[in-house]
Amino acid sequence: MKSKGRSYRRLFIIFLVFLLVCGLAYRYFPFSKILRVKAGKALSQIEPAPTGSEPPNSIAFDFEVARGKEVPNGIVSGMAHSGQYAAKAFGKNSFTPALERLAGDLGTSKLGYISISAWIYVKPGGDPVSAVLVLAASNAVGVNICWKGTSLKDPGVPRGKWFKMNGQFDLRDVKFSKDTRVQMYFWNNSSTDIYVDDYYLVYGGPAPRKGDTTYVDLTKGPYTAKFNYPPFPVVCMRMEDIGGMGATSLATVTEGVQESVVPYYPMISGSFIPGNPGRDELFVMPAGGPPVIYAYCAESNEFIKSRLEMPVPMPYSKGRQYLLKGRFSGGDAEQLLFIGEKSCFLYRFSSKGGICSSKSVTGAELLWQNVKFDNQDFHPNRRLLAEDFDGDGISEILEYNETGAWKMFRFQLKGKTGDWNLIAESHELQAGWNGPSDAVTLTAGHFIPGRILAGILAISRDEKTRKCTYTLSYYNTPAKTFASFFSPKTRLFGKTIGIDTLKPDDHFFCGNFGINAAPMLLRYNRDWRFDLKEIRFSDSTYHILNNLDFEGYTADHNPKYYEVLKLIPGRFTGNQASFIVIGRNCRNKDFNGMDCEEYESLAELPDFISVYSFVRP
Amino acid sequence: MRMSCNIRYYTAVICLLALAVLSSCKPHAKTSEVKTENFTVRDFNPSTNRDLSQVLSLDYEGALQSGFIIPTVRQTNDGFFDLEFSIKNTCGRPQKFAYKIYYQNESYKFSEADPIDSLRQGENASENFYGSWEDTISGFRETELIASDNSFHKVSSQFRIVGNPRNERRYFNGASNDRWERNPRVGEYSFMLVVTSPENLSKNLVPAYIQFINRTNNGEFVNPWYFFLYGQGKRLSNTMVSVSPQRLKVMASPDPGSGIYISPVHFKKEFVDKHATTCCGQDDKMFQKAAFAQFIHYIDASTKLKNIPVIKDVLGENYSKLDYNWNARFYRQEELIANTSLTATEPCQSVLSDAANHKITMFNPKAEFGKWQKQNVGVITRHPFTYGKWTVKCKLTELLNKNNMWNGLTNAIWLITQDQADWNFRRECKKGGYMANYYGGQQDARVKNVGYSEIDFEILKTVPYCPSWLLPPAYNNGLDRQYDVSSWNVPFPEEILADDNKITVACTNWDMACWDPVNFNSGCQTIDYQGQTFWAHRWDKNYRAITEKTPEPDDELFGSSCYYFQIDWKPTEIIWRIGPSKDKMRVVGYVNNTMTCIPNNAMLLIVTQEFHNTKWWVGSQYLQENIPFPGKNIVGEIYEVTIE
Repeated sequence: MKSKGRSYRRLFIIFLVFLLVCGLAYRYFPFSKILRVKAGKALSQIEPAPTGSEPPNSIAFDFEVARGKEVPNGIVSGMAHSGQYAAKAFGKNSFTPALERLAGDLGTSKLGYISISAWIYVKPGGDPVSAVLVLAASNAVGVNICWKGTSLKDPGVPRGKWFKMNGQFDLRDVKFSKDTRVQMYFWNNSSTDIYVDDYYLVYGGPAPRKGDTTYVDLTKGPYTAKFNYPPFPVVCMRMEDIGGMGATSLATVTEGVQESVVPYYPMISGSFIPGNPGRDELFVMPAGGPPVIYAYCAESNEFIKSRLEMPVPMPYSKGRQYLLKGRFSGGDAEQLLFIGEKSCFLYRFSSKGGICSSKSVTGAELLWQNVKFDNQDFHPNRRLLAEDFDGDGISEILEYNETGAWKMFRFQLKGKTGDWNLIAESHELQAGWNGPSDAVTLTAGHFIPGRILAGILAISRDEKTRKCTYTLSYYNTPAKTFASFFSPKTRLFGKTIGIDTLKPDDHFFCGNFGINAAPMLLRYNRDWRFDLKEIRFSDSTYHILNNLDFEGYTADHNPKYYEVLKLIPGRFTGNQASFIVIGRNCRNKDFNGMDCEEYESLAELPDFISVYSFVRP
Repeated sequence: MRMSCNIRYYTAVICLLALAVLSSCKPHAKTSEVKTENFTVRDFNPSTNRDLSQVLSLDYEGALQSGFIIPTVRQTNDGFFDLEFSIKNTCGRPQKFAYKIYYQNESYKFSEADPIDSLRQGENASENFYGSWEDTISGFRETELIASDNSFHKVSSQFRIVGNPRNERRYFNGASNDRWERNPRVGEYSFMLVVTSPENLSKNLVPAYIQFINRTNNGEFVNPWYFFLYGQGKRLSNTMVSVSPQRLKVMASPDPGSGIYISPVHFKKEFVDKHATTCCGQDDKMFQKAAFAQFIHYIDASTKLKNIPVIKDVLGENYSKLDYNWNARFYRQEELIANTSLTATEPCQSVLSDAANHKITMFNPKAEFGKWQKQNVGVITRHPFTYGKWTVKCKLTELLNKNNMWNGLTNAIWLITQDQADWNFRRECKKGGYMANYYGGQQDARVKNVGYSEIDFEILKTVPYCPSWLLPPAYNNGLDRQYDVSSWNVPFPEEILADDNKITVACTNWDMACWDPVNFNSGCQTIDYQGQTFWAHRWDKNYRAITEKTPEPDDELFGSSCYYFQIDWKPTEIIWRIGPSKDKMRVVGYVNNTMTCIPNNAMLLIVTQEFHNTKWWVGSQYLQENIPFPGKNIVGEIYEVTIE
């Protein structure tokens, strides 16, 4: 009986101790470090910060409550760092609502590093502050697999004013799965009252640079240039100071009225107007308006928009179309060949009233048209090039297809109109020209300074290996074949030395861009960034001479930073070639560089159109 | 008539009053009578041949080898202070008396007596700069036989203040006493005359280690000022101790126009004379006269960075954060230039001493394609001091351009150990020792003594480390997606932008992680000074330095015609001040010996413009490797240096 009573007593004491331990544990043990803190419904009713131009890989959360919704627990109004609402963590062991995301939604590969910040307001008072801005990750059953935080502890914690807390955490040793919950919250472990606002969470540490080898290491010896290996010298084109240009327009049409020239408008530069020797004009097909021609007037140092009088209107369409230029019918000026899906036209232009006249009108004479579309060779689906391939001063049209077969046409003027005649065609498929249109690109131009003939640079990408090769060939008039430029002639493909491979998506600009109108060949690539280089072909390869950049632009609006950058080469202001450069940014943040539906003029990079050329430093 | 007499009378009275007031402002040149049992002394004047109220500027001529001498022959007629006092023999018979002059630097001293137990010498009081006759073999000098005739007899002697006044062996190099290794301190000197009876000396009542200041008591020096003013000497009979109210103020002004010496150790022989001028070179003349030398940085291999291949004049061109962000993301590894920051290979090219305008112009040379360089530049003084208020008037380069974009430079005004050799060891670190090497890691050995010391102003674009909840800022590193400007042109966090036009003035003391200070700690800690609270930061307990940071406007510090930077290095504290003029300085950093070990060895001043690895500055918003190489020479000028 006695021993039974002792046992009860012992049990009672154990029970009391257990209760005491539980109480103390509840009071002092940081369960939040082990178990997931409830995100609660709170944040589901809160408006996330507006998205749009938000930085990538980040979540901003300012606790603002959607209008008309009930203010959740833990959120208070009238005491906020931004907006109207903030979270509160009043008293010991109190928590703000947690910002919670699934690791799968953020991208598990991006969670190696997470940075967090929040704004804190500690109510004035004498109690010492002890709190933590927490980043935690928990598994599906709610157990924390990671608990990290930035401590806020006296001395030195400001009272009665908003201040910021930051934290950065290396989470590379945490195994995230898609359903891991990542949480950010604030834990007040002191008797003070604390407001918290403007959570900000950044995931994904600094992205490593592209590439893997740095060639120039000056700690090992002085620099010796290695053929075709970076870095390359930088030469800059300078913005020309031309009057009358607006932010998006080349010319002031009438006082105060300007018409934008938009990158997606079909446009081509050429020496279209007789009597404007040594200069090119810009032919533009605006959406929703008739085509126009802009010509530079040296007297007033401005572009003049010339109204086009066309006998047959050119239909603007967003579909595929060609604007080709050339001296198809001979003469000083070039003609414009329009090849649309429903019609083809060849125009010859003439100026009425002079280029510098504000009432300048350009007459267009129709030399050829095909509205029935019975000429299957001249169709936007075909691949066409225009150049003077045989060096006789008359431009030809080269049509080629994915097999490597080609045809060459010449325009024959009979009286006031004329027609296209086939003058040569391939007997053998041209090696290096064959392949689907996205894998093979041909460019015609004067790639070799001093050569009268225009050559054809064909760049193709092997579908499987993704390796790119190129050929440069010239037309052999007597043989009516295209022969390789490279030496020996049996060498069809040029060598690629270095890491700058010529690619099918590259654009090539041949012209007298250099100072004193020296010829230059420029390669423009935008696979990853603006990349314009001066190159020169030799008898076996190409040599990268310079990187090109811009200078003289307004503020820090370097054209190369723009999402959309159109370069239109031409001898606009004199015999030296320059570029009309149009820069825009796309409203659609998923823009891939191909088609932009709508542009957005950013404060840091506003829309622009300018002329750039090389000038002596 | 009467009127004019009155006027004359009042004028005379006013003049006399004015004279009295003015003369009362100056300490009495001579001391009043002090009596002992056997003699009375009065009219002690430590310098009859030079007015001690005039600041004495150290004479740099020959000081490099002999150390500073106070005064030199260019400062008094014979290169000595002529001391004088009057003595009256009251013992009733003719007698000789023994006397000795002691001087001590008062501005930079430890308290002679222990503040708790005044009968004990104060901690480190033996380190005080005190001296006596230059020849330490002669202890007290004797007067001639003085009659007991109830009249005062003039006694005259000479002394001068020199380096290594105790002739300590640690400053000897073989037979040569390298007094410059323990140069006289700048600041105020006081003078103490001790007159005693020869018997006191012969009976060793004045111990030998006090009579001969080169001697020690149980291996330790005893400060005679302690002995006579607080210790046993205070109660000695027939001993008179008189501290002159006159004090001598000494300052140093190394002349930036005196030339720049080129040390033979830094440059190849073939380049030494290539750019030499009458104001820069390595010849004997320059060796003797130049107060500055071209400073060549030790280049840490960790400063090797893969830099963007961009050459720009960040300050002059319209370089912006947009440019920075694009350049930071859109260069491939293959295009980068790997290099450390550099130092000049050819002397006298980037540093110029202007004798006419007494200034030094220096510049970080511009880079060119193929010669990409971020070259540090600087000058260093050649005459070491321990302690002092080091003030530099200069116009160093601006660090931020109008877009508040940083040019990558750190303007540094700093003190560095003159030498790490034994003679320049710091005081022993009792608790665990110092980290042995400046460039050692965490596993570095701990040693009792090191010669390394450094006190810095480093001014650059970075962020505060404290309070701890601020670091590091939550940067969004962005992505290199060219078709979304907002993905790569990500703004800095708002607290960073709030200080966009400010650069950080970082004040650092390299204490080599000695744990002796009672409040030695790692992390952030606060310290109050004159109503200001400073946050000091140390990464960990083995981290060799403690740093305080203050954001300051770049335009004010480096955009104006000149600015003042001051390191007030005292035995128990260091105060960093900046200001537009010497009388408008404000405190930007403060540490004391409760939190960090204050150096006590000889140091030199360096002024540099240098390219740091921003990994040294955790959380910095701009990374050095993403900042262009300089497109133009970046110029800084030094107008005046004073050490007081």
